[in-house]
Amino acid sequence: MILEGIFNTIHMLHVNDLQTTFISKKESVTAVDGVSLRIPKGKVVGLVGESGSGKSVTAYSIMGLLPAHAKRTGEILWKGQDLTTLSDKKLQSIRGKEIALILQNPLAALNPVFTVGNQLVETIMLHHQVSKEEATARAIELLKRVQIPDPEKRFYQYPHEFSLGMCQRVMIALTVSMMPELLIADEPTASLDVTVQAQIMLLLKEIQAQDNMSILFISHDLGLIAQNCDYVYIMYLGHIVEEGAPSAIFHNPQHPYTQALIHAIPDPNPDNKMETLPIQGDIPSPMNIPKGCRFHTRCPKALDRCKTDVPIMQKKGDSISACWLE
Amino acid sequence: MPYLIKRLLSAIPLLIGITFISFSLMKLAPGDATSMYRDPSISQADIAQIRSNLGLDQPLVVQYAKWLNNTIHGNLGYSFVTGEPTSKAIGDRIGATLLLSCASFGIILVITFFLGLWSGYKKGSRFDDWVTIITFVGMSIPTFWLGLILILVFSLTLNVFPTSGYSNPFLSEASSLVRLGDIFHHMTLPLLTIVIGGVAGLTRYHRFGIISILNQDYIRAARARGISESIILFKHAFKNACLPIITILGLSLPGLISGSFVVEYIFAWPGLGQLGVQAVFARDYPIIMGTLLMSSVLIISGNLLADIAYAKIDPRIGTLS
Amino acid sequence: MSKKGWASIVFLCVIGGLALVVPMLPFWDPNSFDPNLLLEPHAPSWGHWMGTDDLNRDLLLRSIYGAQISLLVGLVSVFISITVGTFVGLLAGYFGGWVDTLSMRLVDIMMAIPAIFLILTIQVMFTPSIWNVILVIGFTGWMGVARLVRSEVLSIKERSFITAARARGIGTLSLIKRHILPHTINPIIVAATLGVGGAILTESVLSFLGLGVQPPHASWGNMLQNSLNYMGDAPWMAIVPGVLITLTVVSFNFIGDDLRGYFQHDSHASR
Ligand SMILES: Nc1ncnc2c1ncn2[C@@H]1O[C@H](COP(=O)(O)OP(=O)(O)OP(=O)(O)O)[C@@H](O)[C@H]1O
Ligand SMILES: [Mg+2]
Repeated sequence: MILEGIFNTIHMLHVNDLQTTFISKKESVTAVDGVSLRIPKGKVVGLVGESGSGKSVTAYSIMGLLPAHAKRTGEILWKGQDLTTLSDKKLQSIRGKEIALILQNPLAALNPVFTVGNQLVETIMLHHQVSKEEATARAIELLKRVQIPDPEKRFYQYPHEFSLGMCQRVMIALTVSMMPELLIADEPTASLDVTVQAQIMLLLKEIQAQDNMSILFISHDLGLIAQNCDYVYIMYLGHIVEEGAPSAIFHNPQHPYTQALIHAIPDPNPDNKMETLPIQGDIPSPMNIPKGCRFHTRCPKALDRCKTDVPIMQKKGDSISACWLE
Repeated sequence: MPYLIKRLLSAIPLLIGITFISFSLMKLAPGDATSMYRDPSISQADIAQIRSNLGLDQPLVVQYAKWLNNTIHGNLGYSFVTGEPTSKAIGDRIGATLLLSCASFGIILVITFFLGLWSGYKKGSRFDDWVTIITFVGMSIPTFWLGLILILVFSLTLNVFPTSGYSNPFLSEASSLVRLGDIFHHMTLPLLTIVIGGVAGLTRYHRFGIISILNQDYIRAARARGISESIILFKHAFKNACLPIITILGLSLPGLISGSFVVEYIFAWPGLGQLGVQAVFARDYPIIMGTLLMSSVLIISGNLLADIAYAKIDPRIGTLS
Repeated sequence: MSKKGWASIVFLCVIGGLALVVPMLPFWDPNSFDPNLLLEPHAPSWGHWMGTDDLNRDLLLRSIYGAQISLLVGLVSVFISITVGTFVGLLAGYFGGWVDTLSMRLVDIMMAIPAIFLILTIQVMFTPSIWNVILVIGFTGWMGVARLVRSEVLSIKERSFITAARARGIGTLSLIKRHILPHTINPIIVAATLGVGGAILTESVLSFLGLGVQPPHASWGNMLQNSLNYMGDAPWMAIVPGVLITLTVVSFNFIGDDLRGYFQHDSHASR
């Protein structure tokens, strides 16, 4: 018991064998299938995968923000407490205050009919015992901190008057205002152009360092993950296929999917002749999951065995991966 | 506000179009103002004289232009039946119509809003299933028949509400409070008829709106910030949900007005609808044109109000204009 | 199809089947009256399951004849609305420019007139008959369809396969026929199903006001008109046709709603 306690303080979040299924009359879709993650305090953990691999669904499952027709099994231990067993009321008091979420599309994440200031003040007053004036002052302060120019004026504007990058800054300001212990950032820079992307990443790292926050950083960009994370999970079609330190994943990838992802990164250096190899084919639909290793339909090295037997995660090289190849 | 002015101006060609189409239609009809001179002692020549005096022998467009000119100057012609000015007939009736339509509109709006909000929020629940069935049935009941059934139950059987009319003539000496109460007493059944149909017709659309709003990212993001369900529903979803309901209300205005015309006729409610339907039966063209014009004005101004409300609530519109 | 949808289909099949078959059988005349009874409305009994009207005519039989009229009016007038609306919507959406502006203004105008008023006015001017009713309802109900088809055409025109077809030199007419119409068919089917209910309601109002189907032909609307004088004494005369109208319209609405859900799901899955 004592040991378990220590373990849990090291790992703020411990997701164990998470499975999320969307149930409809016609068919059921299992978007996340047996995912386990550990997120230590003050660390940035990356979750990488192609579009449709189930990254966002994993994030929503942790937050308990799935639609009513979704069913979730497994354990989500937050500081030793299983979030799947908590009441709505209890969960609501953890959301924002302890675990925050930044969504994929920043413009859609702000309510279009309320001013940015209104949404900031609402959140500040929910999480801190302050007056409206105090909350307003703090909100403007926050806007300044996330480098939004002219914050006194911007406070009274609506989301559609903000650029995408600025909306994402507002989302970060909202996060900072709640001072969570864990931030789940779902592709926070996916819709932004490269320079803005770099600024947002800088900002995230800054607030992470200041508040000693843990971050689950979700992205389909392995390069971005490698630069910013302490530990990486690679996800494919609802499964974790490889995990390890970024150096291991990058320099000695074990799983063919990880290797393919690395090959697909465009190299900015024109002298480097190594060509990028796009992964062949499309990711299969989760309604129609391949038997055996889920990647075998697109794997250049697939063996006969891969078509029938599901590989398990085991240590190979410097990382842990699920692949039948020696 | 240039937006408002632009919308106002765009209503003018619409009104001209509506009146021109109705005017031409009525001219196509067999018989005209002289048909009422059926008295055989009046000679054909005299009728021709009357026709030319009335300008009925001129081309359609000229006649329409004359009508338009008169209308702009406030002269809507005279009833073929009673001989009283159309404007006076309409003026006498419009109060009752406005009272009934505004009251029913307000009630429909409030009931629809909360019914749709809750059944959309509780999508798939037992409550939602019942609301769906009841709204479908309500939508499919012929309005006039619903009125008849209400009369059958509440007037003829239970005897709690009067079958028809606007007020009790015996109370004309009573205090204004008693008279007002009497009007509301008379209004209950027609109001109920319109409200049932209206709520049923609109709730389903509103429910769809709520469901799609609750699926938006900003609702998920608000929940992720720990904001309570009641604030999600009554602040974040509420204001957004106003937008689709305003659009639907604007669109269903002609239908609601059509419905209330029939209801007025059935309950002998002395409004524009009753006037119009009676005028149709009597082929009283000036009155028909007048009521048609008035109801079109009502519909267009209703739509205008809807647009203004929409622009007021949705900040994205304000900057577009 | 939901349970409600299946129940609706069964109900409509029964009503439609009776309306089709019974008038062809030589046994019953809807205008015959029961000579064994006093000449007054009789409550439902073994001899007359749904009672009789003031002339001792059997309400069940008259209701079946009424169903024939109501369904005929509903289906044919919606067919007219759909045809006109599709035609206008296609023209407006495909050609754009002044054709579009003109037809959409016409739609705006027609939609700002309370339909019942227009219909009443037209009906009063011509001798009321079933075919007049059908024409009037058909030609005052096409605007929604026109808007729908136009917006579908506009969104299809945006997509690449139309440009590709154009580039291959395919003519306008065959483009519309082969590429645009098939894509607009689903929303049209939904609108048509819901429209039948609406048309049946309008017919009932017209006949109720005495401007629709004329006696001695039975229609649900004119049966209701007839019931007015006996409201207090013979409520079944008002209840039977009204319930039939409601059930029929509700069935069309349930089916239309199911179809909409089905097509939506379909387009979602294929995307
Ligand atoms: N509400 C839902 N109902 C049914 N299926 C869903 C739902 N939400 C997601 N899915 C399915 O779950 C799978 C994973 O989706 P998810 O959004 O998690 O992917 P992702 O990895 O975040 O991709 P992206 O990079 O595009 O954001 C997809 O195939 C999607 O179709
Ligand atoms: Mg995602």
